[in-house]
Amino acid sequence: MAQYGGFGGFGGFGGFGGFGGFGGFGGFGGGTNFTGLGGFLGSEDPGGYDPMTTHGLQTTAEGLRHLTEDGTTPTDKELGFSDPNNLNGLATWVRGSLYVSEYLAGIGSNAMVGAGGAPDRVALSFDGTTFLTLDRPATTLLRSQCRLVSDYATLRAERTAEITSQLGFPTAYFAMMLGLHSAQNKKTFELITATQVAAAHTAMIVKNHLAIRRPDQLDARLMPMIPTPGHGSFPSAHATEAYAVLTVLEALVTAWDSLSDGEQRIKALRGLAERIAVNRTVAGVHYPIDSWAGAALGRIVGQVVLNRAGAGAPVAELAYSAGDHDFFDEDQRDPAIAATKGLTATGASATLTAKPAFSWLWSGAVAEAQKV
Amino acid sequence: MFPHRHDDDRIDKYTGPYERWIFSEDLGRPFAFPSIRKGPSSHITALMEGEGMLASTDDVEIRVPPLWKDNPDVTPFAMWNKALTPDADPAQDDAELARCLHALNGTRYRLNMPIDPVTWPATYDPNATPEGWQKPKVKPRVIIGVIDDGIPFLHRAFRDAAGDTRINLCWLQAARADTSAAVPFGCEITGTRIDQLRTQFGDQEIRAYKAAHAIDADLPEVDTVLMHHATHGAHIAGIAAGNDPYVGATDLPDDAAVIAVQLPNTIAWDTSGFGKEMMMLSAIEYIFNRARMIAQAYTCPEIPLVINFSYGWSANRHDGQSSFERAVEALITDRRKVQPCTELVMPTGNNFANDMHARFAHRDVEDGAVSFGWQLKPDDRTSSYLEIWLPPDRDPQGWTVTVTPPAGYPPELQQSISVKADPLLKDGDPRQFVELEIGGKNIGQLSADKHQGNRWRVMLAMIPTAGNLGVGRRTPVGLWTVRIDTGSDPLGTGEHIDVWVQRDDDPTQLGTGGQQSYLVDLSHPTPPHVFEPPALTPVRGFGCLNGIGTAPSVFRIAGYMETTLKPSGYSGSASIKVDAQGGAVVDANLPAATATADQGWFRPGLPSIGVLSGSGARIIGTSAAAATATRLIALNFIAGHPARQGFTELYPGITPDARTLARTGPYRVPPVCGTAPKHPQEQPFIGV
Repeated sequence: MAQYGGFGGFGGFGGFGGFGGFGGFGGFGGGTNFTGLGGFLGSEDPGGYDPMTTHGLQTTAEGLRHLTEDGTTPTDKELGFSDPNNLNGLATWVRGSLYVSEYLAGIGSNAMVGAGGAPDRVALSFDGTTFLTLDRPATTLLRSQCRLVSDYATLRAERTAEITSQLGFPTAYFAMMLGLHSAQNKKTFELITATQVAAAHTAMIVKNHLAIRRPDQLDARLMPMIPTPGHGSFPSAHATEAYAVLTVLEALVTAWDSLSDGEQRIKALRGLAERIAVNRTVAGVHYPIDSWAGAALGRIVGQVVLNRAGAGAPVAELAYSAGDHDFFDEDQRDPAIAATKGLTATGASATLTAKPAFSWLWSGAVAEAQKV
Repeated sequence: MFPHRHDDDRIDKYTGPYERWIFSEDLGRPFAFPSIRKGPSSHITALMEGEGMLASTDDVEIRVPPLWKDNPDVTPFAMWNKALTPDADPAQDDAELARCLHALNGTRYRLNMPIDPVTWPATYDPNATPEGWQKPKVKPRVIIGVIDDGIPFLHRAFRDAAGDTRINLCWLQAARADTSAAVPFGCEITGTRIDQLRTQFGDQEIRAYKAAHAIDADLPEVDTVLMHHATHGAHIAGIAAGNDPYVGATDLPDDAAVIAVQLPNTIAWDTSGFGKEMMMLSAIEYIFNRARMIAQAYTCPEIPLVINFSYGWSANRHDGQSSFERAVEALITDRRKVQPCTELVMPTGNNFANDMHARFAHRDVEDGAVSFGWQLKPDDRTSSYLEIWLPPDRDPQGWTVTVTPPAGYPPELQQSISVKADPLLKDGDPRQFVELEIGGKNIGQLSADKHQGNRWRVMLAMIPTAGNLGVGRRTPVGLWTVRIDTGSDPLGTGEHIDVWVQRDDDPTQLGTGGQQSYLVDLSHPTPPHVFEPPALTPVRGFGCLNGIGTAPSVFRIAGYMETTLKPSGYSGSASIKVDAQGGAVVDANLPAATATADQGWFRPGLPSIGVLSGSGARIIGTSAAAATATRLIALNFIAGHPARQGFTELYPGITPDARTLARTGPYRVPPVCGTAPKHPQEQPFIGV
């Protein structure tokens, strides 16, 4: 075994492996921009050591175990039963799994075939209450929207960096608006990721029912600058995620109540959500109506996340029946204008019950208030 | 909804459609460049057209900059509306300005950009000698004028053999003012002051510029431009008037004096057509005035003078008859009577390939009408402008212009205007206005005005297409269609309708968020073979020409590539008309010459100096080509030669093809940059 002694230095590299784990946290900060499970994917999962470290650890154990043999097995240090305080000790990916479970446990979708010329429709519900209905857009409308997709292609050259770095979750862009840093805002990053994951899953459920072809699958002239995604076009998952994060961050900045320029930052966040959504039209993979539907869906997801965290107002029901319109944040935000574009608030609303993991995460994020 | 205005409160009665658009809160003001948008405009610049006396009143102080000759046909002036308080209602800006103009008793004005009150000296004497000014050490054989942004007046390139500056005067139009001055606003840096700064700060040029208020972060119109590595003004001044290894040209002698004017940043960077003529014309008048001051100090006649003004925009009449062009023409022709060696050099522009011009002739009319597309891009954060110019001296009977929104927008957005006077709009040019509105909110202004009472123009001004500008209105993105219906009064043979899109790009320094709109030929799709000669279909580069550089006496410079001798792809061109026999003929606005704009396919642009001594930069465009011509004209004047001595006559004894002549003019200016023989004692030159 002595011949390995000289290689002990590699143990140090094992240490760098640990830093690699922090690299995973970098993912929260936007370093890797994964989609799907985002930064939760394997975050803080130690996996296994490299073979040499494993070997070294065992030889060390053999060499030192005699020093511990006088001890006894502790019996009085149990963790609390079903106690949210335990969450802090879990690996991030495990908490991610809990957020996904809490969020998806209440979700339901109902795909209704339209009768008598009425459009097909999907109703999205939480805890049995419908919060969003989306009508399936007709092909003639999609063809007409291709004209707008073509108009937006002119911005491809100047938006390339944004579009390609926003293929996954654009967390870095949100972090920029609020000056977030992974050392100071660990829970805030985790909240953003949890919201994005919830939004992405929800969008996939709805997209799967509606099954709308991408613009480039209808119009050969559009030639997108990024790969055609492997799921339907309507609603836009990017818009869903962006508006869900926006909704949560608006509430968080309000809860922080500590940014002297909070109003400007919220304006910038709204501009960013719109820009992320529109960038997908520029790229050639989304119709503007996908952004309309995604923004509406994202607002619902964001409100549900807040409700599950024990925060926020009751979730207000929306209905969207697309017309041939371009997408702008200020239009979807103004109820009167939105109604003329097909997005209506039905007036119904309901509060959902809070869940422990989301509530724990929210209170942690609120405690990260920046004093500016 | 544009509010009703009393007759005397109508800004368009004294000015034109641009002013109505730019200064009206319900129209284009919220999207104008910052100095207007932030208002209120207590100090503002303007031009008065027609001879007359400008006199201050109790409420309005008038200042006329140093002129070369009293009572010109077009008078630049600045006014201070003392009655205006900082908290004045911006919605009343147009009416307030109209009231000021009403009090002046003139007939027609062009309102220009506002100026910061701190640039307004307490006392101004147009006849004073600049404080501390001394005449050049030797009598200049030529004076080179340079009008541009970011002028690095401390740069080594402008020093003579003894190390003293050759820049005798530099007017910083937007710098904070001294208590009293010989300029109406801004401050004047004398050669003496430049040498003092050099002595005081040595090679710490940034510190010296700060001390001279040429770097001033509190004044957006000056700002920190001179902290950039390179500026347009440094590059141009270096080629036109500098001696530096980075330019690499034969040296100018010590008796080539320089007078420079640094324009406000908005002028250099805001590329739309509005609001700059006063500053530009003041700059030219100033250089003429100060050149005479130098001559008088040597009790000699006017000295040979060549001014480089590498600037311009796209739209305008293009017949040499805009107020700025008429004023410039008068100055040049009058000065040539006493000193024939007088030139104003300007570039033809860089928009040949940008689909920003169309010309419709008799043969293009179908069913009494012509139609074309105007593509408005998404995320445009500035107004977009389109100008349609009818044939000169034509009073159309029953013509209408109809604007149709892109497909998918409500048909009520379509609007038409008759090309005739609205009888309810008294005084001023004959004119008519129609608003384009969505939900009762304005998104565009369609106007018809008989510009200066002699040529009809139909203009379309549209607000930005971008959302999030906080105003709650925007223009729909996409292909707008414009139809000109000539009814029973058809376009005659030899007549044509010209269309220009205003320049609307986004120089990075200003970050305007502009997106360049362009014209779409609805009848002639783009030819599939890009290397075929461009067809003379209506939307064409021929006629994409600097809109303020078409005065007959201006020395217009197009650009060519040094290695191929072919026109640079972007280089602006004279317009072409097709005669009754189908032959193409170049208009009178052809270039005076073509000069090097690009050194080669892999060395685009020209090298010149950066801001700080010892730095270099490379810039592409006809601006730099113009500067090479300026330098050679100056050297010709020094040698007692005519301006074009040594230029190559391109078509001796032959009639060139119109498309060729329109892009080159009759002469080629030899290369300047990098042509000087290398001296062995020179420090190693690192190319840029």
